Amino acid sequence: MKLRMLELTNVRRFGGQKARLGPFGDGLTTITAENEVGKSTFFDALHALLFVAHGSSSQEAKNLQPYSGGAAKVAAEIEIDGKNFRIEKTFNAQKSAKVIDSATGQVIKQQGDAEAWIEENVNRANKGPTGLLWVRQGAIHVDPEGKDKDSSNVAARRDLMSSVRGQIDAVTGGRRMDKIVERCRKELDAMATKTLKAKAGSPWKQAEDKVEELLGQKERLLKDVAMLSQALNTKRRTKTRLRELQNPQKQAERAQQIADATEAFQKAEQHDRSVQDAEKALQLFVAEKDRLIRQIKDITDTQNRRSQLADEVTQRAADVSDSETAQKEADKALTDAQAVIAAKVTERRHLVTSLTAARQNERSRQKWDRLRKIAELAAELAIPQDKLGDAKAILRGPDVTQSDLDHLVDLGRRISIAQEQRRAQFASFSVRPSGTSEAEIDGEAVKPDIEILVDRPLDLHLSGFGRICLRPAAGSGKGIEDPEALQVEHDAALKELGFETLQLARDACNARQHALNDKSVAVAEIRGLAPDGPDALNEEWQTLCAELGHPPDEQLPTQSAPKATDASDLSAEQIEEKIASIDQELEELRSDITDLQMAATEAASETAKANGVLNHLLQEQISSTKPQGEDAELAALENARDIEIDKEDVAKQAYDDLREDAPNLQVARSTHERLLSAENADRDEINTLERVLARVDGAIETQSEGAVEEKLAEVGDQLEKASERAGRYEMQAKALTMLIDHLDTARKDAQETYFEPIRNELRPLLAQLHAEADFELDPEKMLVSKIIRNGVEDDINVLSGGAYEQIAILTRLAFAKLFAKQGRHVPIILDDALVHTDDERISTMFNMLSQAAQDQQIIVLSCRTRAFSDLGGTRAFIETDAI
Amino acid sequence: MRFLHTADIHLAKPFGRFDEDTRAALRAARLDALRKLGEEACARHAEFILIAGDTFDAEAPPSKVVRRALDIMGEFPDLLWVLMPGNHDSRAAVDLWERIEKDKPDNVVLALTPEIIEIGDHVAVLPAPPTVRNPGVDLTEWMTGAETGERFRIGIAHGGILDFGSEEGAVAVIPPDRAERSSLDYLALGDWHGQMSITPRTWYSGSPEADGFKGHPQAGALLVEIARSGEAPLVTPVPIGQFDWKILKLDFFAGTDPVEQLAGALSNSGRDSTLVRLEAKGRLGLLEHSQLRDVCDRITDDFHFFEVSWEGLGIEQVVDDLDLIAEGGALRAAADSLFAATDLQGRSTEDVQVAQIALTHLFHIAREETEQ
Repeated sequence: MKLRMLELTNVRRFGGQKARLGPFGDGLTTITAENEVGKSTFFDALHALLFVAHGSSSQEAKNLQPYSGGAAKVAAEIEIDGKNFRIEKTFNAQKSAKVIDSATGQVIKQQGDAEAWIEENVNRANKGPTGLLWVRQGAIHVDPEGKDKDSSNVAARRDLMSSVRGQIDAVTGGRRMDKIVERCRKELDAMATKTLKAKAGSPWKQAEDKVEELLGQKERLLKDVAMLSQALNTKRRTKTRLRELQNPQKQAERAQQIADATEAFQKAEQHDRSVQDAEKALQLFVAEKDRLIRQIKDITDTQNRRSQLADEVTQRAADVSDSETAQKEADKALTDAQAVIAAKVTERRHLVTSLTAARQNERSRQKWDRLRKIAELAAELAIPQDKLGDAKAILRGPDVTQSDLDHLVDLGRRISIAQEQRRAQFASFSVRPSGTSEAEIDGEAVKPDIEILVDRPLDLHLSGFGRICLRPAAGSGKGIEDPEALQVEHDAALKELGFETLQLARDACNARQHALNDKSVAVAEIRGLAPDGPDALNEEWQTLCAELGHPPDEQLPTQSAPKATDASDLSAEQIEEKIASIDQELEELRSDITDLQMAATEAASETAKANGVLNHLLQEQISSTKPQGEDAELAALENARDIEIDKEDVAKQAYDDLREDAPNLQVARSTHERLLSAENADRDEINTLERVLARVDGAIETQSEGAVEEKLAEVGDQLEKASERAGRYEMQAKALTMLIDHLDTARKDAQETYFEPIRNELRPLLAQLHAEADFELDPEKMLVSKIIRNGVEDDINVLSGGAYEQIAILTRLAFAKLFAKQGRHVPIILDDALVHTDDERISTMFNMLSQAAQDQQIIVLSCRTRAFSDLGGTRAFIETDAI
Repeated sequence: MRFLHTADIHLAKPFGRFDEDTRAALRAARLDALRKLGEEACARHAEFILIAGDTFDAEAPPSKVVRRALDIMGEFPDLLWVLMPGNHDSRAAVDLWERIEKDKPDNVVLALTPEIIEIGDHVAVLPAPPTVRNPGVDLTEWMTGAETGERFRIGIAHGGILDFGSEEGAVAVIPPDRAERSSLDYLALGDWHGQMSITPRTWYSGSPEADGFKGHPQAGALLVEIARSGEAPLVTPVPIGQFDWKILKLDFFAGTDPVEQLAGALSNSGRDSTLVRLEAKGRLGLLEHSQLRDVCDRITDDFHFFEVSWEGLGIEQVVDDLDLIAEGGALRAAADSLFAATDLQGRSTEDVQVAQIALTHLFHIAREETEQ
């Protein structure tokens, strides 16, 4: 949005007048006029036009009224996206609002719609704070010459910053928001814990405790009421039952029933006794009759028994005879078997003796055979033993090994090589003296034609000649072994071995090898013939000779060994077979013996038993001899029995008759008992009920005096109320929580929306004024809180007034740039905003304003005409007309 | 023939919801009502008073209350009091009726059984006393066959009429035309606490002293006059009640003056004997809401009891109201978001209530901060 013109009618100092301010260009517009001309009035009116509803009764609206009163009208020509509109509002009286399309002059919106249009197209277009891009004049006039210069300066600065702060606070809510949030937090903290439960000691907790307390009371009272109700019910039932039990008519009927039942029962009992007596009498007659019958039977049984006994005795005697015969036969069989066994045992004994002799003969024969064998072996052993002796004799000689021979051969070789090398390296000479000449070396004559090597300094004396000094060449003979030394070594080695020549040593070595072979072969042959050794063989020879009685040095006889005495013609094996056969027969015979013994024992037992039975029967026979008078006794008993039978018949008839007429005693008794029992039960029940009644009466009296029902209802009502109260506290806590959340969220959103972009815009602007300066923004207040220059941090409060106002303006510019980047163009209005800025800084500020004005509509009002004449831009003027 | 018909005195009712002083006053008022009934009956030359049940609020009231009630009845020795059990003090309260039987004065007659009670030589009272709290059957049926000769036939019963039910929602069993069916000159009913005519011969007397915010008309008794047997009775309400129970259901609208509206609904006289329950409904702006709350706080002590239910009252967004919180910025944004949260669309009732409380509270605090 861009402002083009402002028009006030009857507004404040322009009471009764119409005042116009404009035109405002796209960029920088300067309005310079002396104080109290009404510059600020225009912008107060503009603020009201944009941000105060026409119907408002707010102080801001009222402040537009002139002293004379009446409607205050404000109008503005604005441009939005290339289109021109006129906004008009009338405040305080004849309140109205209009939006007019300047091109057509038509009113496009009125009243509330106009307000909505303004809100939508002007204020909301900013999507941000209202009134932000204003720098208002300080409320306090700054007097540099005044006594309280410093304090007034500080106050002026503070007021200036507070106008900035106030408008930025409008974004974040500022201190007011802080206070509100703090208060809400305090209220919440006073009533609730962090988990939104009632805090101890708070009214909410007290309300909850009250609810708990009432719930406890209600529970107790419910029990009491239940008890009361139960007691009342019990009393009701008890009294009803008592009435039933104590009914006089019922009681009289009961008494009559009992009397009738008693009489019937007594009669039944008496009759029953008569029946019992008759039965007893009958039983006596029956018992007597039975006794007589038993006596009769005893006598007849005895008689029968007597005749049986005679037959049995005869039978038993025959049994005894048979048993004795069987016993004799069994004994004989046993005796015969035992004799056979004895014979077999004797036979076996003889065979064992024969077996022993046969074995003895066998062993003797074997020994003789062995003796002959040993003699053969000894003969065979002689040859390898001789061979072994010879080999051992050789081996006892000098021990010459192949390595010894190799050493000697090597020495000989080296000697030859050394000699050849010497001959090759050293010069040599030989002498052939003629005549009687002689040659000597070291006093020794040199034999003629013997080659002599010059391998050392030699002085050759030639007789008649003189001395020839022969010297080997330097370095000759180097590396050549000394053959003489070698020869000495060779001879010493031979001597050590014990030979004079190598050949002899070699022959000895060969002989030794052969001897070793011969020795091995002889040892093997001897082992084959005598595995345990010849000595063991000899020892065995000695032993056998001793056992057989043969002299060890004599030759062995040719005939076979003599036979032992007691030897049979059968071999030991044959004898053993026979012995085994006899053993088997003996086993079978012994088994048969056992059975025969058992049979004999059994037969004896049977015989004894048969004898026992026979004796018993004989004794019985004696004891059952018929007594005198037995027949007469029997007849008398039979007679008495018949009499008793008659008596019994009579008694039985009487008994049957009585039984037939008997009343039912069980029924009479049970009826009588039942009625008595019922009577007692009723009596007991009455007693019990009366006790119950007494008890419940007491309980009812107690509970009703305690007014438990009323108290329960009362507590119920109180509980309902307390629960509502606790519920209200809970809602309050939730509401506070929600309120704090919404406040925090709104503030945070505002900060996020405005803070960072502000920083980004403000920094480069501030750098123009304070090179390399940095600042800190208070994120809570979105104000510069510190400025850092050359590493020194200064709190904003200690800055000069000029620096303060510069920063305020730069903040506006930063916002404006920010909005511009977002495609929202908002005019900046600076109303006497650089009053404290020095000339140098003001120039810089002018530059920045000019730069900003290239993209931004900036309207500057100032009373400093001269200073602001360098600002440039469009100049606007206030014109007034009377209405 | 002239008599007073009353019922549902509910002596010793606890009134637990109220503070102690109010409770005591309401209880005392019920005993006073008993006395006033006697006085009115005497003043209007009634021959007897019929109490159609629920004289007592419970089956076992404190003996002191029973004693005082009987003493009050005894203060009018020439007046016959016919006491019938109701559902709160039914016949099942054996102990209570035994006590009353033992301690009652001679001018008190107990209608404890469905048997004719003869008063003088011209009146037959036919009671149908409830045997238990909710009998569930029509106990008045016996009245049809009851032989009363030439006497006036006055029936007494307690319970709900089939058409519209019982005061406490129990099963209603009394036929609305019982008086006509059983040739009664009048059927005196108890249970419903408001005075109501069912037929010209069948009435609920209502409570002589109101006991709740039920919207019943003025509490009192009925004076019943019958010139001759068979003629329609003349029934005249007799005001008795000391306390006036008012339930105000007011709808408020934003932009109106709620204070004025409330003032118009409340009488200025007799406030100290008036109990008020205000159910505020509708929508008000924040400022109006605050004003209404303030005035309710101020007038509470004018009344014997004053209670407000705010649950039905919503918040209406008025620009000025939210402007009073903040015209813009984060504070306004918070107010706007809270206001949005008061919209019931897609939210539970509780959440909306919480948001309303939060917004109202913000309004108050913001105003206080502004005023500071």
